[in-house]
Amino acid sequence: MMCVVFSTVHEAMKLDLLLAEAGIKHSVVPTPRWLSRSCGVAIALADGEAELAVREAEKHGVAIKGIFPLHAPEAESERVGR
Amino acid sequence: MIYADQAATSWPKPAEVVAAMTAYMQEAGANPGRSGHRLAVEAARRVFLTRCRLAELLGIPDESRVVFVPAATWAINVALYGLLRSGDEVITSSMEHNAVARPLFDLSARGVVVRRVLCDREGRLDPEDVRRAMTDRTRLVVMTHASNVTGTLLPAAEVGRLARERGIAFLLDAAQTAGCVPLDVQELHVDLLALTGHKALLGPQGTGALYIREGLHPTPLVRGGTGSFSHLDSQPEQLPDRHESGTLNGPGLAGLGAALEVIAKRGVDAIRLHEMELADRLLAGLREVPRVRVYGPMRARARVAVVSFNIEGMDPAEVGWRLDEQFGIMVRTGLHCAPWAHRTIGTYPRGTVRISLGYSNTDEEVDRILAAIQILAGGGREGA
Repeated sequence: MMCVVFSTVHEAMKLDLLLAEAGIKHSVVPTPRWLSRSCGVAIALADGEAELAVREAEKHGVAIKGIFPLHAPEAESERVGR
Repeated sequence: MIYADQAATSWPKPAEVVAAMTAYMQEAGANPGRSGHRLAVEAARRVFLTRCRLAELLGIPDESRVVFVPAATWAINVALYGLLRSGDEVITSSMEHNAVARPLFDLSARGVVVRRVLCDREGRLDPEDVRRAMTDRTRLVVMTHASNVTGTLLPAAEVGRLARERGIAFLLDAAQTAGCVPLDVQELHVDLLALTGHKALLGPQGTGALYIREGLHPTPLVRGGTGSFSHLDSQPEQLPDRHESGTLNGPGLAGLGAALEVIAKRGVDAIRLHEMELADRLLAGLREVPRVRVYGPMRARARVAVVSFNIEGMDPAEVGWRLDEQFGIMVRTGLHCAPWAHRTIGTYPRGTVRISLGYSNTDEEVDRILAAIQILAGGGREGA
């Protein structure tokens, strides 16, 4: 599962609506604390849907802070993100 | 009972508005934009929808530039205190409501130079006078779109164009026009738009908005929790959060969302036409009543359906009281929080009786209002 994080809930709600309209399965979840970038809500999606979500966001000018795995890696490691 | 005080607040509200507010409180009512659970997310979705609908109504491409505030007065304060600094000049009209007049009065004591352009006895503004008042220190023009006393429509597009040509910001107070006069921020060259949810937009009291064009950065009036950037001590830079500290009026905004759907369905053009017809009917009738003096333009096209009048020899407060007591007709009397306007049209300090009509008023109600005024002015028969 992947997790899209945002700066503000406004952007989260915008992508939430766009994904619903595009029929892309997703849920709005509390932002995992290890990922916390700013906004308290994030959008969780299946790995396969993440690219579609990014495309929707880019098409409609929704700013995303990053996309990360939903669950923290078990060992301390370097975080790679956008 | 006839409600003729729509300029104060619209009444009644559409049933959909009441239903949306109740539904919000029962089905969604958590804190929008704060927690991540289902009730909070549902609340946030409804607020977001309202923001989108409002942006669409006003021709605003990026809905994040629409900031929710408790009232138009609040929106005006955010804009004026957020942009004006000591040494700046600001141009305004002589028909402004106290929502503009009082902040400007305060700012003038803090080194802001306020230039007030005089309107004529019908409340009309000549854009040339605004142009003549502009200097290289003019930072902002703030103007009402329509007077809440005389109903006069002021030339927003022309003033907006003049301001834009000189790189001067233009704040339009659309308290009396949003929802009943077509409004497009790009067509009117508006940089900041202040509006209220509870008048012609048919939403509940406690809702309002400020549109802030991209490129303008007013200092926030209020700082606090925004549900974002919580690790920072400083107020976030991003809109709308920058100007939305504290919990929003969730139930109110849900109601406003439903109201905007009603407006979109009816169409602002149709609403405008209906109100012009009511205004024309009222003005034509008042013209025939002896001892009645009407203020503002006599043609509906030049005004909104807000009509001030006086009966010669009668205290406006008494006229208003009798209209309510004897005839069940509700109007507002006095200075209407706009002493500048009354000074402009020559009715200070007595004020006027103000009839203000909206979409829910009818021709039949206008006829009954006219009959009542006929009687009070001594020209008609009681019980007619």
